Amino acid sequence: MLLWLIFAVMTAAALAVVLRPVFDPATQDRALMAAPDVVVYKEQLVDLDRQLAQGSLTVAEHTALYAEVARRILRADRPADTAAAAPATSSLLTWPTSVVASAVAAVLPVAALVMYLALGAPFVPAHPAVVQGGALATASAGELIAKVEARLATNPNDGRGWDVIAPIYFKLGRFADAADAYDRALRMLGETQDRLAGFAEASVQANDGIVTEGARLAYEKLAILAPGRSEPRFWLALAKEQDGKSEAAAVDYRALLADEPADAAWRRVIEQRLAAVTASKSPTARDPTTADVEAAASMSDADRRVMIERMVEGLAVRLKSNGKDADGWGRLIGAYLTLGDPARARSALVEARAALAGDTAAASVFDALARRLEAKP
Amino acid sequence: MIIEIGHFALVLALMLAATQLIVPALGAHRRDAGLMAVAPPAAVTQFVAIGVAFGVLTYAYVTSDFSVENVWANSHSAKPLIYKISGVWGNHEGSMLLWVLILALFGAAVGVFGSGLPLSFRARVLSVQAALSVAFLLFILLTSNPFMRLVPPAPEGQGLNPILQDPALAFHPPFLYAGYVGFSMAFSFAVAALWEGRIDAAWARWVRPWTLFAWAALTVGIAMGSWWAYYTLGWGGWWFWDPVENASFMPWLAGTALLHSAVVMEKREALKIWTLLLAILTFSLSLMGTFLVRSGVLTSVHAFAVDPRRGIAILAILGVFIGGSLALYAWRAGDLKAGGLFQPISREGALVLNNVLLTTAAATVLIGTLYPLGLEALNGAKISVGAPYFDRTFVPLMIPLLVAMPVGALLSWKRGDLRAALQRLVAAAIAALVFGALAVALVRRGPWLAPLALMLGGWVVFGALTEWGARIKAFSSSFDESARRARNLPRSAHGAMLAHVGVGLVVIGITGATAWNSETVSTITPGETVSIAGYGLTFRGAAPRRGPNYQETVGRFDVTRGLRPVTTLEPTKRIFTAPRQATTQAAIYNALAGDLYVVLGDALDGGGYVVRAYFHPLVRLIWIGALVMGLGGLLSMSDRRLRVGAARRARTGADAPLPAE
Repeated sequence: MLLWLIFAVMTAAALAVVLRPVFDPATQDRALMAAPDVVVYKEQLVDLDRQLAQGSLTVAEHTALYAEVARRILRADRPADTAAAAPATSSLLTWPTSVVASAVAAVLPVAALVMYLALGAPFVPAHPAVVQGGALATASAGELIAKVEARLATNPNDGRGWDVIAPIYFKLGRFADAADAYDRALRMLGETQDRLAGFAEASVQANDGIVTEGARLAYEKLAILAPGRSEPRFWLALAKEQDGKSEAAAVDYRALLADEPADAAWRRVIEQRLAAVTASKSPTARDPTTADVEAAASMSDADRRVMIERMVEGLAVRLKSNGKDADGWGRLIGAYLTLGDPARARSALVEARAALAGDTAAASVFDALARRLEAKP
Repeated sequence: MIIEIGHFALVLALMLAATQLIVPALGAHRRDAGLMAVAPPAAVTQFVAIGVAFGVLTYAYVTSDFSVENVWANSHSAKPLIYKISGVWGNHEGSMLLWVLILALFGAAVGVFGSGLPLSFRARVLSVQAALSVAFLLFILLTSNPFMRLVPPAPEGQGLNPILQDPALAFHPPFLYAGYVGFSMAFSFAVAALWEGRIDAAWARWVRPWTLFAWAALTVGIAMGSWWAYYTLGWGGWWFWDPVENASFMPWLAGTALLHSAVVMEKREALKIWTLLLAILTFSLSLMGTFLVRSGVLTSVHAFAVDPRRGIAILAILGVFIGGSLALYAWRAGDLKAGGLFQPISREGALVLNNVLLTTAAATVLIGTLYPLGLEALNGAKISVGAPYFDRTFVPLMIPLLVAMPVGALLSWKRGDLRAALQRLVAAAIAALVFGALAVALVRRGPWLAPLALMLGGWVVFGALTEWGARIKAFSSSFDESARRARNLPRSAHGAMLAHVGVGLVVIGITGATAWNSETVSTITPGETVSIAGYGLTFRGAAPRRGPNYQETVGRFDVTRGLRPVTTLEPTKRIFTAPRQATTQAAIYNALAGDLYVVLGDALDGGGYVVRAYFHPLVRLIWIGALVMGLGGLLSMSDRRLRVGAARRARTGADAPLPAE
């Protein structure tokens, strides 16, 4: 109720301010001022006199400028040329001023309300992280994390610490950290349902929904430990789907649907997946390089470098045997640049030009790459 | 509840803008003072309403209210406060809100300070300004609404792209937008003049401060972006001819031309119709810049096609305003009274040359920016038009501009004496020659063009000082007399001098940084030393450090010159946690001759690191020059004197004057 009252006050205040001049008798008087051009010119003349008095103009300059402005005044005093407005004909153009103003006052609030109702969400409460729970939620979580992190930095073999911090990381959305913490706790304290589920879920989240190899293994163990839980079965089916085994995934989804109670909230999700799998039949068309990049994001720096280098080497070998691939060369040179190896990028560029001599489209791509190379150290 | 108040305020702002669009226009048409008078309070309340919306969004960011989708997608509770605030415009929706906030601010300023304008003209200006507001507010509310809610609220946000968590980049968009949007004033004034069918004497006087302000803000904004790129991207490049940069550079070039042609219009009442066209073109380029950056068309024409809603909406806005204003121009420009006459060799003539060169340069950049996009749309080929294109097209246009700059400033209005102007520049020419020769003597390497380019920069600086010196009689009278004259000199004269000196400094900086740049890449272990440009960098090792929302590896280098210790540099590599991303922070030592620039590369087995070190001579002059230019613009803006220009001395029997347009 208060919200609507505030909206009403805002609208009324705005309308009052906007429409006030319409009903102010002084407004009409102000319209009858002198032709503004001449006013400007007269101000200019006064200013010229002041500048002469100050000494920033010589008498000769002053005379010349004064004559110039005087000429402009003469020109401006001629009757105005083209500005005459067309005589009003339609009804809107002849409405009395106060009627136009009243129309605005009537239409504006309704239009604003209609548009707000179409877009707004008046009943959704605010949820500020800072105020929520009296500085408890984030601030104390922050302190707790800092304490545990400090302890873990000095004593990384403290499995309990990792076990405590893992779900907190997860809640804060730091999925990669959560997966790492769960992984350590699993190795130090042994496998429990919670840790396996937490690790797998965090891994999947950290990789934007891709069921990584580690997550798949964890879900397999969890399925054995707790045969009653259905989420490992779902994620394993999704893993199959992501591996391109659509039919196997479809079988699993169907089995899962058969076992789920009819009112389970997440049946819809499974049904959607099943529909997607059966619709395409082919593996989901996901660009493999994107997946690789996503996988690379979760690795440690060293692992990632090794992985990228292995991929780059593979590409280089392939291009040596079959060089008629402008895109491939472009990727290879780009990869060398990213790896900070301009020397190899340069030699690859030379090889590429040799392999694709005569191909003008490729040549322009290579020219662009060459420019990037020049720009790089 | 507060969030919804912000949302409603934005809707209310749209309705107020619609009122401001229709009612004053109706009033101007009917010559009804009551309706026309609605414009100023509508502009002010519209600004207040958008201000409330912006304030509410900022509040949501500061309190990390993750029930707002936009906050959740772009913020994180562990972010430092300043980046929570800058995160408001660090994303598409928020930055568009900032855009209309600035637009409304300018409209409100006309409402508050515009009492000297003719009533019907002010009504039309504010109506045009409101048309822009309506278009962009609709765009925000329907395609990019920052007040969309998230149910249930998320416990934690996604975080702001770490690259944007940087002081220079935090304040780069507000400056840039103040520049882009500031040109909307010139646009609204131009369209209003065409609409009304006459150009008031005060037109240029009115447009001048807005254009100067926009221009100064854009100059500083572009310099900030360049400075940021310089220290963040890890190798000290400061300009890339990247489409995003070009998007801000094109309005700058056109705006610079506008600034100069407006001077002719204000002082001599000439070039009127051309100035209107420039005003329209400048803002059109600003709009196009917004479209290029905001529609995603730059990432790839195809990315644009995947989610075309926003892009199409901006394209439609672009079409309506650019097409509409140009059509109006084509229709009405012929009815306007042409301005005064002048000879080719005169201040006006020189400013026409300035305009021709600057607009051609803007067109060059436009082609270089749009051609790759057009080609990609046609046949899918992704090409980049890089520095070579611009070196061959843009630079040759700038050389005559810079050569002519000091000469033009010394010509008198209406009819000038080229020989006399050149005679007065002899000293500046000699100074520039000495400057170039000194550079050759000091740095005996590098491209042969470099000293020539330095001379050009020196010519511009000394030329600007000559003109200023002549006006205060710096060498021909006593110090007291000169000081008195300097005090009495209009601030716009000081401003022009500063802006021109700034241009010269930028030229010198660019030359130094391009021609005599040196670099070295090496692998070093603690205790080893790299040397570059006379400096020795001794690696003392690297250690981890923890920031509020990142972890970093800090390398420590003791810098010596000869045997004398100079400073300690600490380049770092940062890894942000949310989202997970690595950035490099170069360490920069500002020596007098240039910047020593060190970047910590990858760690190697055995405690070694790849280290890249650069020496960028004179590079800081680029940004100092830009700041000096911006300062000149602001100084000139603060000059509210009435300005009239007339020939310095009457001379009869001159050649027949040429028409101005």
